[in-house]
Amino acid sequence: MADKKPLIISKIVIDRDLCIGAATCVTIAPGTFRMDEENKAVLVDIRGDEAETILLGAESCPTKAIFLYDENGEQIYPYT
Amino acid sequence: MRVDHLIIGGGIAGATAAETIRQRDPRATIRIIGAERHPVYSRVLLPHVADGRAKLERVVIRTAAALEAKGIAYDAGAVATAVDARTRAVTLADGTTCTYGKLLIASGSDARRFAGPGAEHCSYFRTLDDLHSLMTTARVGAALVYGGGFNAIDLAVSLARRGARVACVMRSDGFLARSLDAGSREAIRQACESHGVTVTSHRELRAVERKISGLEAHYSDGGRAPFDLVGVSLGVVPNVGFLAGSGIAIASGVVVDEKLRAAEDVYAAGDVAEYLDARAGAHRIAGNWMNAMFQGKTAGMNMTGADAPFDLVTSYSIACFELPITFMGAVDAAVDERVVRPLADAGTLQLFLKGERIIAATCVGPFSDRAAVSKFMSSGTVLSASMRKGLSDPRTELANMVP
Repeated sequence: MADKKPLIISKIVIDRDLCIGAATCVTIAPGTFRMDEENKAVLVDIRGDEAETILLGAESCPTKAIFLYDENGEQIYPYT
Repeated sequence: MRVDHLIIGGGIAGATAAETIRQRDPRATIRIIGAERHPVYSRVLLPHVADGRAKLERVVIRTAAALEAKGIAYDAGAVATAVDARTRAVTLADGTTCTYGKLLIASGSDARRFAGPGAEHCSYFRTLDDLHSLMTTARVGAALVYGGGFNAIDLAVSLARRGARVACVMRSDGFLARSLDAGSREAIRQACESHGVTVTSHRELRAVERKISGLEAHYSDGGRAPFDLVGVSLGVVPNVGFLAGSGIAIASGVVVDEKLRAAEDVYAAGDVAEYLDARAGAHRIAGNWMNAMFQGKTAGMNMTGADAPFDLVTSYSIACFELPITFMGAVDAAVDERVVRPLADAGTLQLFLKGERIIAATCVGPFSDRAAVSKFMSSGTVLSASMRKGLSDPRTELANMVP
């Protein structure tokens, strides 16, 4: 089972080249992501949803275009 | 062998269902059997790998080890050959049987094959194995892409970006002809041609012949043309063959209600599920990533005691080179009217009306009204006469019309 260390997301990077505008992230975490005029996901507010919800939003991306980092700059997702 | 939850299908629907079950029931035994000999991977990422924008390793979204760590057994390369819903038993190709408490059918769909002479010379772009074949093919000079769907556009763009001279040929009147208006189809044709990809409509491939120098396409109109590769993209066929005699209702896919139930303790999700779409008022298959993932989630919830309907408005987008193409909602359903709305810069938004409600949309070009259109659909807003008039007028802000 995964450990229960509290999840802290300090940085979110969206790779625009990978984003295809599937909008699953916007569906799951609408406070955090929105689609821009070019149909690419952009960050609205890094505190827009619970950290677990943001992680779920990133995990749902079919092109793994969303990168999450913790307070030490370590990559949380995609899992390395 | 017996498990509490047996999931047939190792795609995103099956994996999401398994993880949802695990979240809701820490002790249940869960087994996924996936026909492909790979970890859970993203088909959507395959074009990005094919043209070099993403590394191959990135397609894997759940490793077997990650699932095992959650107590989910993942058997890659395990093929279900028969299901008996009465005895709750699934037979596998290796001769073993697995009985279940609850069963999820998430077996997905396969590429529809070209059935004419020389079918064995055709390539496809559906699976990770297809991608491997494509990437190990010697340099492709000239490629034919036969078919008019999303997958054909993806394949054409990927091959063109790999340096091939690509000719797109389709029986239909342009790409995505069943859903798109003439202006949108023309915009896609122009995007292709501006990148050197030719587009020929109303032409049927009759046969593919192997010559010493490569392949030759034979068309029904008598024309012939040489290619190094013939890629076929004629849509998909749900994987339901193993369900014959199972006692589970099959139409095109596995017929399920709005709660994704096929029979007692049997559910279906993803590309194989022909679900009751309440907005469209009909059973339909929505073959896209978002649908598969969220149906997996709903099925997982309902397999662990919830009673939730699946009512999400799902969408799918690709880019034809730089041109965004988005389908949202039931674009394949019978509708009363299609409202064509020109976009401010370039492109077209189509809104599909059933009665006084918007149930689907297509957008070719920048989709700046995505949030508003999605809200119209998910809220089931009944359009007033003035709202309806405003839909086709690009000067009316859709965002201001959402109640």
